[in-house]
Amino acid sequence: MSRRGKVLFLLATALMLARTDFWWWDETFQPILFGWIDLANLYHIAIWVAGYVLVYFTVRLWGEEEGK
Amino acid sequence: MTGQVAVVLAIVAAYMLAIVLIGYTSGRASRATMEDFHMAGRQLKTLVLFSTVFGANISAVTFIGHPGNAYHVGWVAWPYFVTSWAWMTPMFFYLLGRRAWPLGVHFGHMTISEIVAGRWKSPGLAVLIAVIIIVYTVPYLMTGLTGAGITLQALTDGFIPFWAGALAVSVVVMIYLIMGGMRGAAWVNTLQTAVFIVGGVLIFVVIAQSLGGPAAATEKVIENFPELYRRDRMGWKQFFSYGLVTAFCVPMFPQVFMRLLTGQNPKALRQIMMIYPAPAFLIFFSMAFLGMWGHALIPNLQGREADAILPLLLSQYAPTWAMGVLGAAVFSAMMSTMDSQLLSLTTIIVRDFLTRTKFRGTCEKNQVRISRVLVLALTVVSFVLSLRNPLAIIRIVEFAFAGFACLLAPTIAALYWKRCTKQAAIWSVIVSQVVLLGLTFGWFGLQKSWTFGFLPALPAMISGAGVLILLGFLSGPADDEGTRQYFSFFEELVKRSA
Repeated sequence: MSRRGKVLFLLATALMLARTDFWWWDETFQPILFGWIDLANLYHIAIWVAGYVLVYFTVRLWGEEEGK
Repeated sequence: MTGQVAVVLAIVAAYMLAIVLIGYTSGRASRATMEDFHMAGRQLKTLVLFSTVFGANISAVTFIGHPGNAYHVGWVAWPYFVTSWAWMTPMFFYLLGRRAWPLGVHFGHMTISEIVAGRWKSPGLAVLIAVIIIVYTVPYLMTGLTGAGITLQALTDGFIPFWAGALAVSVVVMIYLIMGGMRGAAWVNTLQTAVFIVGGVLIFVVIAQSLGGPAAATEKVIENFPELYRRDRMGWKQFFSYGLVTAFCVPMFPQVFMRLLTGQNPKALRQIMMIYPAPAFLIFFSMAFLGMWGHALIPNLQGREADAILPLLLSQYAPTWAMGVLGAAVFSAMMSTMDSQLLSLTTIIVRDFLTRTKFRGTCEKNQVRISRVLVLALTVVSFVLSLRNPLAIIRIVEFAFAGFACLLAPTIAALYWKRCTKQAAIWSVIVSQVVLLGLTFGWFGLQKSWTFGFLPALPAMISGAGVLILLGFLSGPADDEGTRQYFSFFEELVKRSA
């Protein structure tokens, strides 16, 4: 695997660790968005978006490796 | 039978008839070869490939087990799956697909066992992996039938008993699979995936509206069951370990892995990677909130009773026409996974077992006939087992998913680690499965408390990977014909693309 590929999977590992927000797991949040989404929900949405970005760069990498 | 039940049944019956017709029509284009029956000639383009891979992944868990879980634990059920699996699985499509797909085309491999054991030309490893996959796929397969029975029973207010719903789905899936094989299933999956993605979003909108909107529904939960809006009912250790399990298990589902090999080219695989995370998020996010809101509206469901929360919400809060349409969406998700599981089990039995016996010499036409008989037999077995299913869907799949996840490390090693030996791969598989079973059931002198709050899958995966690395270094470097064949083929691929 190329160096860029290894970096992408290292970032994926970091994201997999960061997804467990244990530091505020027991805290109580109130909805802050549309009356039903709280900060913890927003954090997890951000993790999903970051993961999607990693998928985008992985697809680009694969395309370049294939020479297309 | 009330008018409402008649409308629901008419819509569901019309939908199932349409599915059978699509399976029959596309099956007429099939040829009686193993490549065509099991792999659709490896010619699936992006849209159909995405539909069949995503359809194979989204199952009774999504529309039955997942809302049932959210009913008990709250909204945390959605990131429990989505913040790892939804994006990590496509990344594994890259890691595995870029090597497994060309291997499949070049060597004619169809199953995970053939790809992994082919690396060392080891029939023993092939049989070991095949047995493990079958053991974990059968209970997972049962959950589809369980979900179908629960859904039809709840939507018809008990008019259709559990066994009849499960039987109806079994028969429909069996018919289009026997007639069309992989090609028929892929086209049926295209309709099913469209129906359950659109239907899933519709279910959310219709129910949320009838509850006065998401904010009002959430407020009811915060007032009456605040522990569901916090995360009191699930510890972070369980959340952490399950993230790894869901991320690592899906590429190892035989029904998903084998469908990756049916793509026309790597470009199709890359394109499905880009689509994957979006519908995965949409469906799981919306179903988790429905499950949590359902707790405030229909409280006091105990244990596996909560698996019926979505059909119960539909029957109480959706208009009659919507119940039928949305019921079809739920069936779509279940059937698309069931057909792929049945077909992959059939492929494994034929390729990893029968072709190693006196059936090896039998002509392809006969092998396809045997495959059709196996589809019939496996459907009957799954139906009978589903009638005795004692556990909530989410508990069954948590165990099955863990078993699949343990196979990821040796699979990656087979494709990337040249030094790794057959012994390292075999012992990695054995040790991880022993640790998983031991920590789950207290077997082999292991105790359940040794997981320290994490799921048993976590120590199982770590111990399997540890054994693989340790024995790989101690017994390597591998110097066998299979290793040379695979890695010279990979070098050839790099040269071709340069």
